[in-house]
Amino acid sequence: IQNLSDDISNLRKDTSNCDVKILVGREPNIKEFKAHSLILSTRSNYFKTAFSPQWASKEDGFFISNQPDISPIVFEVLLNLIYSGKFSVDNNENNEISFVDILIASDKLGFLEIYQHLE
Amino acid sequence: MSSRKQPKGKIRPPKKPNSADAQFNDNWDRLAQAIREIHKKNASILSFEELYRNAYNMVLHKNGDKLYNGVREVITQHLEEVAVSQVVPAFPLSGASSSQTNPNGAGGANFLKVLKTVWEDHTTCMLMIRDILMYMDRVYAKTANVPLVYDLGLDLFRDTIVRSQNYPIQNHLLEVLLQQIKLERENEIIDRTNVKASIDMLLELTDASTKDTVYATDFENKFLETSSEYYRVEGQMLVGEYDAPEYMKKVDKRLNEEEQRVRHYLSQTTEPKIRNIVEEELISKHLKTVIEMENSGLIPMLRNEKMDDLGRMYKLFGRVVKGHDEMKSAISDYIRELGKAINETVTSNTTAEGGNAASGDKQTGATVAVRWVQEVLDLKDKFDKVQNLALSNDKAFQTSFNEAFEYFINKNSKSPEFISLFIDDNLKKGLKGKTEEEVDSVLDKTITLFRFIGEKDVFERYYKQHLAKRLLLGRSVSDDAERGMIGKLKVECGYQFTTKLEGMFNDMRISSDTMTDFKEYLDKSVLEKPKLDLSVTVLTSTFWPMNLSASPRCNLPPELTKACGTFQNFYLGRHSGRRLTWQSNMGTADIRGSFKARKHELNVSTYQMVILLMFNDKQDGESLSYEQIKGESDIPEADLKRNLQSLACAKYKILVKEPKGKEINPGDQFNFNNDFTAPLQRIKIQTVASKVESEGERKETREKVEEARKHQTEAAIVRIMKDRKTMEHNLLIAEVVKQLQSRFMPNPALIKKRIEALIEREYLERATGDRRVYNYLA
Repeated sequence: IQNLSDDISNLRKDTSNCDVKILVGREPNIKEFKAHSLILSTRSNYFKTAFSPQWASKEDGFFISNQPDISPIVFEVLLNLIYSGKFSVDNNENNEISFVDILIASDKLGFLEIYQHLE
Repeated sequence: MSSRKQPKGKIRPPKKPNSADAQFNDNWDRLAQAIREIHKKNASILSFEELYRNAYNMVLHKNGDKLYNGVREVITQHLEEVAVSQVVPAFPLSGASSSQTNPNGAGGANFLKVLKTVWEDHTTCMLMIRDILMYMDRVYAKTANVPLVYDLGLDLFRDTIVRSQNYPIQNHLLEVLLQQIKLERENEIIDRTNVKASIDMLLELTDASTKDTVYATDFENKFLETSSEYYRVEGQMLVGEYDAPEYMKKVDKRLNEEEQRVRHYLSQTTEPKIRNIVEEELISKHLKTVIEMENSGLIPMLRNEKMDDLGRMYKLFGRVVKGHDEMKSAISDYIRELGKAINETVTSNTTAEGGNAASGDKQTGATVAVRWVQEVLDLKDKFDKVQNLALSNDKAFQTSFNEAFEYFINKNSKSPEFISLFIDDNLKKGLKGKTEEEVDSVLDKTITLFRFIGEKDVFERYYKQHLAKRLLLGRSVSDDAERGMIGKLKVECGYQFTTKLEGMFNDMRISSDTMTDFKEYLDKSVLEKPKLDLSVTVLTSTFWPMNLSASPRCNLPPELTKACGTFQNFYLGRHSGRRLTWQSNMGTADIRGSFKARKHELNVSTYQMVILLMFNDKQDGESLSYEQIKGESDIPEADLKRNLQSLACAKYKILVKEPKGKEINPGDQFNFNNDFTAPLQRIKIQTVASKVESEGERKETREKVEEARKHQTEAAIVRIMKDRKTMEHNLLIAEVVKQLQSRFMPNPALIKKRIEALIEREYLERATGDRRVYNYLA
């Protein structure tokens, strides 16, 4: 099972099969993240709904998601957390990142498991 | 202005009520607008993420309640509009009494169609609203303990549309649904999809107070009530118009239809309820009427062996509590009635032949017995067939049928004798050209009748008599068949029942060995050989039914007496201490008769031989009177009459009687019939071997049986008391009955008498303290 979780966290680095573009932050501090709709939908009802045929917005075959209220740094951590299940702040040079911000973001985006875990 | 500026004073914290309000208003406006767009089916222009964010922000800023109430308001408003603009205009024209003016229910169907669309729109919208308010559901609804927004939508739909206070939607809906069902019951084609949509809708809505579905609270009871009334009327109509098979088919059809209906568009929970109603109204209420329908009810079905109809009735009536009981008792009554009729033909036959039967036509007596058994067997066959083909071999029915057979079979006091005679008839040689297998199967069936006999001891006595005659007269079809039959009886009643019967067979076997030895003995001996072949069968007196003390005597011809003496010496020489008694009423003899035309070999009974030999000394034309024959031969009167009858009045008339007639009377004269002719050289003069007993004989048998019962009862009492040492009266009686009932049903008075007899003979005593208790005296 360890291998499985490693494989999944490796997906995070391999962007070739990504089908989601997430624009995080506000001008000028906007960063684009790429991800897999499957992974996001599985972990979050928010994304599951957002990518459902009823609501999905697509551009060039990519699901587009805008998250202006979240800072890219926070999202970076969150995304790693989503893929690996590991909370890794240490390799981030910016120490401003707060635990609470990640908590808020996971709540907002409906990553319930992560939210409950952090809480 | 001033009031606005005031909070901006320096000391105040930077509260931003206006900005928060503004943001709230902004968020809410967007959401309300979005919901309206969703209702207008314009969802494609909406952004999920944006709306989600709006709702998120509102909930985050503690405005969850405002959001929730706002949503409630927007949806309610929308549904009110829907009610007015779509649902109300679709009301069937004549409303509640629509069934007359709108016979095919088109208006109703249209109404359901509209409702279906409205409902589908609503649920689709609610799914989208649920999406954008996902955060509200998760965070606010949980903590505020209010329904999730989708459920809120259902409640609003229920209160605004289905149970609208402003418009009679509910009445119309129920009316239309019931009307559609009624139309379908009357073989109209309805659009089930629309009905099903409405029913599904009612099933999805929940009643707030009962927590049950709106289907259950609003619809189901009304449906059941109208169905009940519908089938009440239909039941009365159907029993009046149709015969039983048709009626049952209609009911079957109805049950099937209702089941289908439930499956297609009602709730499964309704299935047992509507089934009960149809069963109650169409089956329970008309059970007796249908069973008793004059030319088509249960009895006519049985009479005409309508297995399909009977099977249908069994299945149909089995659905209701008393159905099978009513059927069972009706069939049992019918069996008793048929049994009574069979019994009556027997008694009427015997009484019709009256005086004749007593001394005269014995053959008829046996025929009556055989016919009685055959008719009972046919009846049994018939009901076995019914049981098998129509009643799924239902044990309860079998028991009830058996009781009915037992009842009427034991009503005929002669049944043990009849059954034994029937077996006798089948085991006799060369009868009716049946194969051994056929005979065996008939005997198997006969055993089932035997089971019904209460007085098995009486049967045993007759069986012994009949078996004795078969064995001694050599009329048994085969040893195997006989042993087979005894085997069957053993299975039924245990070995005690058959030991004596088996003993009889043993005697036959030993006798045949004895005769071989006797012949060798004669060959070797220096004694004068008898002038005739003597064949003797030695019977153990306790096994055989002959009455020793009253063993019939007659004067045998001297040669025969001499031969008998030789055998007696031989036998007693081998077995000292035994006593031989000659049963001259049982033997047969082969004699040669010279008639004018030719010589014939005659096979006759010992008695007939004695009679015929008397004519050897007479001149042609010289006659002997009944009295002369009687005096000289010393044959008992009843036997004499019967044998004379066989010689003078039956098929072969070796003697000629004067005056002519079927009966032998004192004063009759007999002549040797020199003119006798017959096609065969060898002639067997039939003496009626088995016959229905005459009244006197029957009484005698009865007395013997009673005597045997006394002994058996005493034996049972002693056996029980020896075991228990002390016992209370009623318990003892019960135990004795239990032990004896396989043979006969002892009556308590008889047992009581036997107990008293045993007390007198000091086997038992009454306990000193309690007169109801007996002690065993060792």
